[in-house]
Amino acid sequence: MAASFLAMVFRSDRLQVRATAFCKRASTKRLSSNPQSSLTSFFNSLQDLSTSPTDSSLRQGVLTAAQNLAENFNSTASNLTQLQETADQTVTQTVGQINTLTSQIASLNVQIASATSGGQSASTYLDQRDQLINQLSGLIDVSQINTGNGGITLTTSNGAALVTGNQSVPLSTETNPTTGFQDVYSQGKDITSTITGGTLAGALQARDQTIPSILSSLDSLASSLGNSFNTINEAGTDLNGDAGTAFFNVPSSGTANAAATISVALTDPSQIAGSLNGTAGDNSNINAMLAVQNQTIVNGQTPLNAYSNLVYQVGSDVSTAQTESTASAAMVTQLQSQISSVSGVDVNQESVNLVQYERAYQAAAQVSSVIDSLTADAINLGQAITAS
Amino acid sequence: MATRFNPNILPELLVDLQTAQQSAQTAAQEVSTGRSVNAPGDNPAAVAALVLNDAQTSEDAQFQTNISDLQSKLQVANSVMSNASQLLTSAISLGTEGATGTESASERQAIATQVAGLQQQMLALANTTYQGTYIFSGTNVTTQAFTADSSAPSGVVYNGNSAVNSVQISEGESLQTNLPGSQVFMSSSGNAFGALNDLVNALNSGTGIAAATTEVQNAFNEINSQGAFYGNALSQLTNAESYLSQDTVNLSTQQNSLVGANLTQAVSDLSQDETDEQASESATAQILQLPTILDYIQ
Repeated sequence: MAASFLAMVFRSDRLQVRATAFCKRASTKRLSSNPQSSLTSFFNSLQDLSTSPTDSSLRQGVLTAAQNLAENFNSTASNLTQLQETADQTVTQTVGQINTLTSQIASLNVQIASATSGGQSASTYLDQRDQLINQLSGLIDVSQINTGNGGITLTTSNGAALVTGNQSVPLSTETNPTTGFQDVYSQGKDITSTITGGTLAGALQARDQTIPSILSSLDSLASSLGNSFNTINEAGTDLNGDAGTAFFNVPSSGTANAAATISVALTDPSQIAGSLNGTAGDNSNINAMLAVQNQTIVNGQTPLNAYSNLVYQVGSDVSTAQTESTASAAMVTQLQSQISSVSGVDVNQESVNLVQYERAYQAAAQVSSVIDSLTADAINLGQAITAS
Repeated sequence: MATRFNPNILPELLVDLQTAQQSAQTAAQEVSTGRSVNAPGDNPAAVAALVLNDAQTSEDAQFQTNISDLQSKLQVANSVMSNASQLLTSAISLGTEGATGTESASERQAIATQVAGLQQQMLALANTTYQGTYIFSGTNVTTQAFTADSSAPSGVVYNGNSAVNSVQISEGESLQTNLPGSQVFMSSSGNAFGALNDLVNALNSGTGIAAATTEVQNAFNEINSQGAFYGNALSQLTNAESYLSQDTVNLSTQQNSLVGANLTQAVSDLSQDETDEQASESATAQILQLPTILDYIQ
């Protein structure tokens, strides 16, 4: 009972620790070279150009800032994808660890059964098995069913068998053809979405939910910005008097992979179509580009608000994970303490018991000694009578 | 029977120790960085607000750069206007001199030559460039604004357009940055080139000098009233500049309140946490040394 309680707590604890780790990396390491400053720099370079639309060095400045922005989107997206791949590797590794543990537990089940039927104490094996189950519950959600005579069956909380009596049921991974990531299978059935605890669930959550959600927000931002600038640049006239062309290369439909693939389409600073009336000095179209800052182009938000919300989302994920992790850790300590107060070895108590047993032994020995001497006396008495 | 307590309390003590250490670390980080928020997870709402604050600060700095660029350009235009105004004043005195009727034909022609010189100077002023672009060509800045053409009624042809540019100088505030040359120098209410051309012709012919001088007077008034545009624009820039300085200070105050550490609080927390940590350590050490009954059994 105590073990399965612990198992439950460990599970949520580990899950949160994993989620925290992923979010922390996502927030501090990955997003620190953030798209916000390159976004601001890009708009600032356009502000510069608006004061002097024909200045070729300012035009080059806009193009460079646009390239920085695109590269920043690319590298942020690629870092997030790497995190996703790391999580995917964790899934494969964890499945391997789970299989090792379940096969060990199954063989302990065999030993426990044979010791119990032979009338011997199986407590060493039981302790070992409890420890393994604790470890297992840190990796995946575990439900324990006692089957009598020390035997147990382990399943996930959604009922996928892990150990049934003497048999372990190994999990396996298969590549999902759509995502390219590993799905978790048990007895030929995909159980990926039913795993709710432990390292495995943490890695799956980071891989399938947390990171994709950040990526998709980033994609929306990149795609909306790219498309808005394309529309505006195409409506203007460039420095050579030619009609404007697309500013950025973005996916033509949908937002998928927009952040990973966005790049600057313009190859020459003169192609920035800043003019609407066709004359080189007109800055009306540059002002139109600047106005994008205040347009709600990203799911009803301005580009900067969208980014700010993304930061909030990441921060809030991290913060929630940290809080839950701390709470779970406290619960684990509390439960361990409760277990110890029932089953922990108290030196004083055991010493007193020891003294008590020694005294009992001494008393019993004394009784034997008295009987011995009585018997001896009785024999001696018999001899004395015979002799006389 | 008394409640059985947990005989192995070391794990709990370790957790307490770790908590005290962690808390001391957080306080130490606050003291050393001067920031209470060091990662998005520390305070998501503050960091999200900080993103906007950073962007606004950077935008304000950019507006200040815009303003200083515009100031140079507008000052050039402004001095062109005051030179043009002085030039027309000279033309008016020359016209008045020619209109007295006491001058001989050759004297009038000499005055006409002087006015023609002023006409040339006016053309040069109207073709002033700033960083390689003509400031009175509308938005057609790569084309010379005016070219002399004796067949034209004003003696010049305007090659620019009537378009104007505007540039943002603070959040939500735009400033018109140019006047088309046609509006400044060839307005219907005061055509500087036309007036000077008429005055030269009148002085040469000896007729209509007074009327031509009045034309120049109208052009002078027009140049002065147009010139006010640049003066106003420059003072609008100064206002925007002082607003931006104040806004930058406000943003920095806001930033500090979002993520800045309360140093007094942080230092006091740090010393409190250190005391807690020492107490936990000392308690742990004492418990480790507590004798058991075995120490007394011989």
